[in-house]
Parts: sequence; structure tokens; C-alpha cells
Amino acid sequence: MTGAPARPLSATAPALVSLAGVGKAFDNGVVALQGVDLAVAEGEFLALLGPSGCGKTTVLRLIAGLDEPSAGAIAGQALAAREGGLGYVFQDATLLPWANVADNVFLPLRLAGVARRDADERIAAMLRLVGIDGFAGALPHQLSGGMRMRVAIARALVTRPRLLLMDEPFAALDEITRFRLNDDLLRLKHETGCTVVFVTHSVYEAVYLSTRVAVMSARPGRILREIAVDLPARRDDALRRDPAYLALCAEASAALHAALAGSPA
Amino acid sequence: MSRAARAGSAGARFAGWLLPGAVLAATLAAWEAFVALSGTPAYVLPAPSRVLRTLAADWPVLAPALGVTLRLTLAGFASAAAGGVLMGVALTRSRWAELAFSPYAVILQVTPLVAIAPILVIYAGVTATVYLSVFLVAFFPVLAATMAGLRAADPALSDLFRLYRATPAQRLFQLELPSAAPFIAAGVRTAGGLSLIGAVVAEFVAGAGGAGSGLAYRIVEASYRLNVPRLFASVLLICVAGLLIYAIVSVACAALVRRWRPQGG
Ligand SMILES: Nc1ncnc2c1ncn2[C@@H]1O[C@H](COP(=O)(O)OP(=O)(O)O)[C@@H](O)[C@H]1O
Ligand SMILES: [Mg+2]
Repeated sequence: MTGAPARPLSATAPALVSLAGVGKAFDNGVVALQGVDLAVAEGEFLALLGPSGCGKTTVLRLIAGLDEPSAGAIAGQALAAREGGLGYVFQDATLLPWANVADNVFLPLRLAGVARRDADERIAAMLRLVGIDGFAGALPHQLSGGMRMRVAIARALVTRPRLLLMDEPFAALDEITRFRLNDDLLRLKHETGCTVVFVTHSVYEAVYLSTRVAVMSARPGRILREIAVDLPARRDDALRRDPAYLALCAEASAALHAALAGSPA
Repeated sequence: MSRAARAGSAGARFAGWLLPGAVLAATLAAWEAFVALSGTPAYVLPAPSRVLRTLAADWPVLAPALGVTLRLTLAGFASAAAGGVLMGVALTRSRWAELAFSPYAVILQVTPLVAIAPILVIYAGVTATVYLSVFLVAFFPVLAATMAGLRAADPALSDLFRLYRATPAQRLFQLELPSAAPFIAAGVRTAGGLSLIGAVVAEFVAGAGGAGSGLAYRIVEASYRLNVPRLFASVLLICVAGLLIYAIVSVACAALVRRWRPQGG
């Protein structure tokens, strides 16, 4: 490891992406972000927690290169430019409605010019990985919301990205499905070794999944607090009643309330 | 029709044919009886049986006329459908092209065809006038629907294509055109209904000039000669031709929609 870490919490690994003093003002005058400092360390699972409208989606879009910051600098954005370096899971599954599951998962490879027959094995492996093998020929509207989200995750992972960005992917799902997908996501992260930035407004989900929680302030958004989640890497349902877990949730919850204090509801 | 389909029962579908059929039979029977009982002469109101006999007797004259009208209608309609889609793609590729040409598309659409047709006859001759008139009325609905459809692609899917560095061609063929397909189908359906009207209007105008052998010209001719049975027979043929075009276009459009908007709605 080289140099002094910029941030004690990400001292374990070099930053994959870092934002320094990043601001984002939209054309309509809305200042979504102001002075965002955030470093994403290689291999970590970072949860981005904040009230709705605070700019979480904007942060992900900036990291992905879908938007340009109006102030500050982002290092590591080159990831987005490099083919397959980045996976993005939107709040809705965002599948091609006319294409079946396998073709949807194939899309990123197809756009990169990979021939279908060279991709078949990889697509099948992805479907197995996210637990939807057997549905390769199904159309999106024939699937449940949870299964559609699994397809979206398989699609994001099919290029073997180093960084996976997820924008409240489970917010629209019922709790049981969300818990199952939480556990599956942790397994996927383990198996693929990718770095994850996961946006959520659920304190419990943030702490359950992540190795670190960054709490954002209300708009204009900035990083208010970072909380290291020192819980065992292996997590399961028992953790949801663990005092250490609950204490971290209380801490994150307090930070979230502080973020909301002084801003109109 | 759609309500019967939704009811799904064979009975409802049967009634969908049976009831209009019964109405038709009753109307024709009353008509026939009225003409027979009142002794109305055929040059005032021909009985349905007389119309059918005239249709059979005049078939050598009417069939070629129907052929001419159908051929020109289908040719104009097909060119308008293809041209509308191509122009829609072209105008949405470039802001400048759109600014330069959209006003003319609107002008063409708002100017009544009956007003343009006499000019066309002078310069283009009868056959080309009929073809161009069909093209003019059918072009705009396809163009407008194509442009609306190409812009209706899901913005999140659009971001996804941007994220994976899709080429303009990939974006067009794998995202925009499939998203636009149901819109284009609706535009083509409207154009199909208008195209026969365009042909008939042009033949009326051109027929007054003294040439032409389309079905509408036979109507004008029969009307001048007070050949009322043939007038009715020609109108019946035009009506059947219209239904035929409607049926063909509907089946084709339904297939298009099923393929590209499989979830319906
Ligand atoms: N393209 C845009 N144009 C104008 N305002 C926007 C745009 N995108 C987001 N915003 C505004 O920026 C703020 C932050 O949005 P967002 O990042 O989506 O918040 P979050 O994901 O935390 O709910 C919101 O107030 C939103 O209305
Ligand atoms: Mg959001």
C-alpha cells in the first residue's frame, strides 16, 4: 500500500473512485449536491444513506459518468469509460420489455460487440448466479418484481465489473423478497469480489449489507457522517436481532435524523 | 371488438358477429321489401338484389377499376409508411433537420387534399396524382407517430445504453425503433384508413378532368349518367375495399404490437 490514506475508514484499500468537493447544480437552479467528499475503497460495500431527494441518485450518476459535476473533481471515473468496468442497477429493473431474460442479460455484451454464441455460457452462469436459471426464455412481464430485479443484477454483473452501483434496487419489493435479495446480494458480492455502492433510504438495509455507511444531509446533499460497520463478513437473519447490529442501526438512524433536522419535512 | 375479446367467452365473440349480421340482414330485407312494395324505380333507389345483379353484370367494367384504385392506394400507402418512418428517423437524428423541415410537414397536413389535387393533376397526370394524394394523406400520421415513438424510449434504458457506450446505430435499432413500434403501428393504422379516402378524392378531382379508370371515377361517371344501380354497386365495392385494407393493416399492426410490446397496454 502506498501513501497515507485520505480517510481513516477506507484505510484498508486504495480508493477505486473518489469525489472531492463535488457539487451539482441542475439547469433549473436546483442545487442537488454541494461539497461532497467521498472515497470508495476497492472491495468495500458502501451504503449511501439519506433522505429522499438529497442527491443519492445524483452521486451514482456522477460516478457512472452519466452526468458531469458542476464543481469539484471525481477521480476514477475512467472506470465508466473502460468497457465493462462498471455495473449499474436502477431503482426499477429497467429491462427491455420485448426481449427475454437471456437477451436482456446479453445486452451489455451485445453492445460491446460480443457474438451471442460466445456469450451463451456466461449468460447461463449469470442466471445461475442470481438464481433465475430456468427462466432464460421468459419475458420481463411474466416475472415477479423480485425476479425482474435479479435479471437486472445479472445484467449488471455480466461484464464482470469492478464496481457495482445500485440505486435503491429493492425499495419497491415486499419485505420478505427484499430480505432474500439482501442475502443473495451479499453472496454475489463475495463470489464476484466486486466493489459495491448501494443507495438506500432504509437504515436497516444499509447496516445489514454494508461494510461502511455514508449518511447524507438533506438537499443540497453532502456526506454528513461515515459509520464503519464492524460486523462479521458472514451475515444472516440472526444478525437482524444482534445487539451490535441494532446499535449500529440506532447510530445511523440518529445521523439520518440529524440530517433531516432543520430542513423542512 | 376489444370488449368482446376481453369477455373472452365464445358466446360474446359469436354475438360480436351475429348481432351486426342480424342488423344488416334486417336492414336489407326492409329495403328490399320497401322497393318492391312501393314500386320505386331502380333509377331512384335500386333494391339490394338489383345492386348485386348490377355488380355481377358490370364486373368486367368495375373489376379493373377496383384493381387500379387498390393498386395505387396500396402503392401510395406503402411508400408513405416507409417514407414516414425514414423521415421520422432522419428528423429525430438532427435538431437542425427537425427545425428546417417540421413546418412543411405541418403545412402539408393542414392543407386539404382536395385543394392540392387539381394542381397535382396539371403537372403529374392522373395516375401519379392518385398515388401522390394517397402518399400525402398517409405520410403525416406515420411521420408524427414515428417521431413521438422514437422519443418515447424509457430514459433509464437510454441511460443504460449510454453507460455501455452504445453506438448511434445500436441505440436506434435496439432501443428507439423497438420502443417506437407500437406508436408506428398506430400511425400506420390511421394512415391505412386515410389512404383510400386520398385515392377516392384524387380520382374525383382527376375524373372531372375527363381521364382515369379508377373505381371513384366510375362512381362519378355513373352519377352523371344517372346509372344509380351501378353507382350503388361501385360504392359497395369501395366499401369492401376499405374493409379489406383495414383488416390487412389491423392484422399487421397487431402483430407488430404483440412483438414489441408483449405486456400489452
Ligand atoms: N435532471 C434533473 N434536473 C433538475 N433537477 C433534478 C434532476 N435530477 C434530480 N434533480 C433534483 O435534484 C435533487 C436530488 O435528486 P436525486 O439525486 O434523485 O435524489 P435522491 O436519489 O436522493 O432521492 C432532487 O431535488 C431532484 O428533484
Ligand atoms: Mg433516487
